[in-house]
Amino acid sequence: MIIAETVEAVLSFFFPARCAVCNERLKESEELLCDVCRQEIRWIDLPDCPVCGAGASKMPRSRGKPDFSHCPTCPSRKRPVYFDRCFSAVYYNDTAAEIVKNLKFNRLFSASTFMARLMFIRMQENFSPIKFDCIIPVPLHPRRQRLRGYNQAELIAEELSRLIHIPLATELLLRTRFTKKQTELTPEDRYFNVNDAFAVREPELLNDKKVLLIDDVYTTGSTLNSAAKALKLAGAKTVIAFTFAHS
Amino acid sequence: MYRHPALVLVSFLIAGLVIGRFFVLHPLVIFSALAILIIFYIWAIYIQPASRARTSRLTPSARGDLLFLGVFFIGILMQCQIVEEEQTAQKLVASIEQYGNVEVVGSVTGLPRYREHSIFVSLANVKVTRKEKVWHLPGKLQVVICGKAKKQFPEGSFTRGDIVRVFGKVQRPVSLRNPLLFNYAAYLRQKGIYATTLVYVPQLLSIRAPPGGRTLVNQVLLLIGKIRGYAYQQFFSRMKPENATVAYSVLFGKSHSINPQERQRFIDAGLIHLFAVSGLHTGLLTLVLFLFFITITSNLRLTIIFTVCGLAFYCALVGFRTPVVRAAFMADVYLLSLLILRRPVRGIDVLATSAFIVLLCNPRALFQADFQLSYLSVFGILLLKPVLENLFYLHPTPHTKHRQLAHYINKFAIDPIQVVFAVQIFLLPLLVYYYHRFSLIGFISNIFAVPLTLFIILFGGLYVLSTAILPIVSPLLVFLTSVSTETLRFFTSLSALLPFSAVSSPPLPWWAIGVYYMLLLGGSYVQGLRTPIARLRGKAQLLIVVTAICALLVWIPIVQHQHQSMTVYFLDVGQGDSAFLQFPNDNTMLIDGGRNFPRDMGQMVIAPFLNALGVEQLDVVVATHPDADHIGGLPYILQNFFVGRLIEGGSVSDTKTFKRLQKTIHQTGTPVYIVTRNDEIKGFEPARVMVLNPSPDILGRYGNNNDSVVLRIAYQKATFLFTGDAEKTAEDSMLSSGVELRAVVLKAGHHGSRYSSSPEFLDAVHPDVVIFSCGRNNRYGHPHPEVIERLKQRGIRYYRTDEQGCITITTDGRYLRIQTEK
Repeated sequence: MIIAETVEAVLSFFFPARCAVCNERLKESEELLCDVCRQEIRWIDLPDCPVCGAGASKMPRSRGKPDFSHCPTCPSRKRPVYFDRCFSAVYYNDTAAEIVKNLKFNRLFSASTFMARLMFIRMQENFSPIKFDCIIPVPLHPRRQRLRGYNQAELIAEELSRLIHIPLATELLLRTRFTKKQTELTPEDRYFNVNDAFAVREPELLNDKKVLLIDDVYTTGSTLNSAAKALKLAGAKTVIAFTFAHS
Repeated sequence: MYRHPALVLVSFLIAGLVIGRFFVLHPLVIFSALAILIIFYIWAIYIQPASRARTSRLTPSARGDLLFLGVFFIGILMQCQIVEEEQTAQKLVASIEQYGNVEVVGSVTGLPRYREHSIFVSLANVKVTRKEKVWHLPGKLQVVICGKAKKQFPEGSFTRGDIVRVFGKVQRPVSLRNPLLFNYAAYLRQKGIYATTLVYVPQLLSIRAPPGGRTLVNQVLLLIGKIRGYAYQQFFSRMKPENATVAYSVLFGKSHSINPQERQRFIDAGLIHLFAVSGLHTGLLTLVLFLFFITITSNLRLTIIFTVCGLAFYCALVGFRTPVVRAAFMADVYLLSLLILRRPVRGIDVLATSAFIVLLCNPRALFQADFQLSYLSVFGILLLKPVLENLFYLHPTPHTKHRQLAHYINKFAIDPIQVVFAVQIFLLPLLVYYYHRFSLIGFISNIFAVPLTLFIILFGGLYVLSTAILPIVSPLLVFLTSVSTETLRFFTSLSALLPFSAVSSPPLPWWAIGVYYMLLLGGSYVQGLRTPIARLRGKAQLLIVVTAICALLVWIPIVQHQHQSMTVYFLDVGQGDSAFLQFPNDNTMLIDGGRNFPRDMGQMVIAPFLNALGVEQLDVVVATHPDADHIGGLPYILQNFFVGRLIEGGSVSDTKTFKRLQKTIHQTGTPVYIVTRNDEIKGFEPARVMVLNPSPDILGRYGNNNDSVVLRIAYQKATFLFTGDAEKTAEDSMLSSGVELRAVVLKAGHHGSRYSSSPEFLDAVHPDVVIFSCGRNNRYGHPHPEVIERLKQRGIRYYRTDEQGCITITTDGRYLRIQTEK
């Protein structure tokens, strides 16, 4: 224990932690972000959209109140929605985007801890007390996972599962089709890109289960919806999607 | 709070090491300083009374500063120790040298280095025994195993830690010492090797495992040696020798085995760095290993651990040389940080940390070229690449059609160009300092050569693997390796042959190098600041690059214009004569060219020296007389330089060397002039060159030596007398003829033979300085003690090329400045 601490102390002397956004050296009290950049993180303001979890400020207003029936990011208005509800922790602004980018492409694994913590806080605040049976991260196609070396959603899910003491199930949901990167597509193409890209390995295990589906960012909901579809068809009772950021 | 504590730390260590080299402090002083520091540190952190802590407790950053100061003192201490070790070792070796054959016992440090004709082994903890006398040598001793003894010990038969026992002479490393040229003895001294022993006969050498058996690490190293020997065999058995040498050198970083012409072509093409196994190789290997292990394990953690081990193995395979240790360390730390710290580390931090560790383990590395080049090249990339990225990069808008294309262009075309550019810009002064040549084509040639090299590494590595595992594919792989090597070699000679592919340049003065780096660093610093300048971005950065280049371009003429004075180099060519003169009007003269046996001094010393000086044309070459130790090296010079006139005295000889010279003159069509007493060689005004010998009355009658061309060169008050091998007869003839003989600098006739420099002649010349051009321990006994006695009686200072290396005399016509080599 002492050895591990010493090693870490020496390492962090030679390789000090830096802010994921502005690259400034972090103080001992700071985690991942410096205090300045931390200010930029914006929580989703409640009440949120009962379907996709978009914040109230994103909604069109009718008579001074947010009108959730015309939510701009909901997939519900065009196509069937398979997840029961989606939650998100923060807005997908430049700061959140930078964190996600660092986790996805720059191997900043400690960002997953930070993200999971924010998501945990969010969960304690406004999740109705559902007792989940398992946590499932949105999988990557094996080929993409090989190229990247890891799945960022899985990292977040791992951390979250440690915080809320719910088992992680990574082998259940599979991505069966190698899809293009969602970030390179228009909203319309995104749906067809990931539609039916997922499959469940052992459906009987999911029968009547309450599943928490984890991903890093909610943009149009296509990926989450497609994954939830596979889970639901396999017999899952409830699928709650939960992402770190929501655009 | 420093942004990069590791960088600050290593800077303090370097500062300590540098200061320790120039100001030798007593170790006690440093020890006490360190002790005070440590006591203060402990007091400040642990013992300081709690009541006062609130007001005066050290902040973390102050603690850091103390640490830096401590490291600074450690640096000084380490350097002082090196200096002291060097002095004691050199004295000791000098005294052992006199005893002749002795018994040497020591343990191998580092890995044995295999060359074409010899094995180099460094020994530590050396015990030298001669009958009942025993010495313990500080530092290292290098055993050179050649001839039959070499065959007894193929690669992989012994390794680090083994006990070597050898009978032979312990000698100080010696080499020819000339300015601007590689000094092997100094190079060895730099590495902590103060003595060498040569062994040919297998009976005089024994190498055994240490009494307690080899350690695990050493056993692995032994195995690695075997693998390397195996790879060597595989390459040379299936490929053309030229291709095999290049491919093997690229894979294992052994540029020594490449022949000099090919090597020079690689230098001119700016591709010599391909043989310094480094980031290129390590990067590729890391990628291959990573992809391989992640495919078979699909576990990031295991993959990282396997990759780290694989890199360490490769490090051992190429012999733990600084560039590859640096690169592998950086890759390893990066990968491990992902596991331990769960975040990537910054390149600059890793670079600084690895430099810190390397210097702490081996402080001598700081003054070694491969350390400097390797670290500074990466530093240059880290510093300049972002600047360049801001300047030239394709920035497509999102969701455009060619986004992917632009991405690939950035990645595969612009990135490599920028890396090469950054390295070349940053290393420019250093490359000029070490190689005296700067490749202009390097900017372009690297872009093609680097991918080719990657193919060679990939195919070559797979080929060696396949011969052991899957022999059926090895013919294909060896073919691919051969083709890529052949292409690389063809491409290199093509680049090297282009006009202006490389330019020679005299080394920049140290202050110019300093200002150059200050501009680059300052420019990049300004670019990094959040100042209005940074907001200009592109323009400001362009300005930085342009100023940096301009700064250099401005200096080159400054440096070249220093030669308003006259400089005479009495080159160290072993036993023999060679002097190179640069006149105030920039014209050049070479008087004699040393021997051609056992080594051609023209090729080994004079040509590289002239190249280093940037001299391409010799206006006059003087062949004083046909002896081999004077004209041996001249044919090579005539073939490789533009020679205006060749001056001879008219004596002939039927030796092979003389015939070879005649033949070369014929082939090159160099105009030959026969001179005689009272001729004047024009073309060097304001300096005057008079011929004092030979004269028709003695020519051909008293032997070749007395027919030597004797020149008196006068530049205002600075006068030089070059006497060739003139003996007493010629001297008497000159005395009686009444020509002006007085000279400030006299090159003693016939290397200081007692039949030259007669008392009467010395009195007539009345020199202040006499130069002896002779070889170390030459068998003729030059210079003769009698001559030295004559000089001492007259109070004349003398210099010897065998003891002081090349003697450089610079004069403005009034004062002389005499420099010798270390």
